[in-house]
Amino acid sequence: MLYYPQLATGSVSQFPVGRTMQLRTITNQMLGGDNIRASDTGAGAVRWQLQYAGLTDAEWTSIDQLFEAVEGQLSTFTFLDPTDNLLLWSEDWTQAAWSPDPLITLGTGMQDPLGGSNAMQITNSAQTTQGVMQATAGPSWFQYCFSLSLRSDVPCVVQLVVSTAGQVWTSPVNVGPNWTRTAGSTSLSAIQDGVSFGIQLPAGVQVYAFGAQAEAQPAAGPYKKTTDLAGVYSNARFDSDALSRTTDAPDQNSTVIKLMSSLS
Amino acid sequence: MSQFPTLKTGAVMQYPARRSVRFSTTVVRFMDGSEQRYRLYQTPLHCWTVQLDLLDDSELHQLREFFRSQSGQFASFSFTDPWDGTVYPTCTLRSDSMSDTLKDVFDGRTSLTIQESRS
Repeated sequence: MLYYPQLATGSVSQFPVGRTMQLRTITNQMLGGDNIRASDTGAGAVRWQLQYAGLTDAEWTSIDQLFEAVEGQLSTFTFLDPTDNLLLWSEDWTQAAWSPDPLITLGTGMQDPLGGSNAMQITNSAQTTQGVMQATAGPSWFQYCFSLSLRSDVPCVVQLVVSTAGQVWTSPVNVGPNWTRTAGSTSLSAIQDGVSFGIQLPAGVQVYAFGAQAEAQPAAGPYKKTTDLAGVYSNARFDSDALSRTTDAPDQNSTVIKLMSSLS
Repeated sequence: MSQFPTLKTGAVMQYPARRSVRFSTTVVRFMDGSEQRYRLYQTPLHCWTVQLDLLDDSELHQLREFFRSQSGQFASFSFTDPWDGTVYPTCTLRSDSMSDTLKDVFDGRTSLTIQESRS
């Protein structure tokens, strides 16, 4: 599996990041101003323009190697959108994207920290630790930050979890009666395709959770709500058959990378 | 019916804000110089250009999700004209393309054009 590389800083891109979403609607415009519209759902695509400056030779080489491996626009790779949340259904953990352990009960429609009613109530009714996880198609060895808002009527400690096949990283978090945005950042040493994010609750604990977010960077960015589309694009391509760089000084390179991915 | 999202400030648009009104008239000109005019639209159609700067990640993301949920210019939504508070119940986005740039932290920018529609 090929992945668009992270920089040595642990982020995928630098500012500025340009992004264009292109959809397609067929419109029949009437003289009186009415129109009949049909959506072409298979035609959606998203494009990114990533501008880099001050890339080290090693960072440049990792991009160049990917470009050669996929032969320009020919083949696909996985791209983690640096402007998006990598998790699907960030406010609805009852969706199939989330995998609760057998004795975890999920309640919806709870009051959330933004004044809405989109928080989840998570209850572990088992006699042992249970959790809720979501698997993504990202590479396990990238730097990730997993964040979410937590609250509990009774103070408790839950674990933030980032895991892949053969390795589990946990970080204890104290949860109190007020909403707190918590974040855990890690880079797993295991080299696997796929990484999962979630929380583990001790036996008998009930917490309220809202706004799960994973990002391929060292620290958490502002929360971004997702539904059925997240920032993991497994069929991304370079949007050009040419790749050029400018070497501004020793070990200092700059370039502009154009990527695209279908939305279907 | 969905609604066009508001920024964290509660506002919909920033300055410079543009609003236009469009009629549609057919003019038939005769050889003697006279003419007849026909109204094609029952009522005029309005259009707003929402140009936004200095957005943070989440505001920009909210607009992207709105664009995607509308399937570009396909679905209609309700838009409240910030000039006079009139609610236009069937508006669409004018384009199937949405571009944005995140220049820096809290410096996202994008532009969307909303048009009043009859259906």
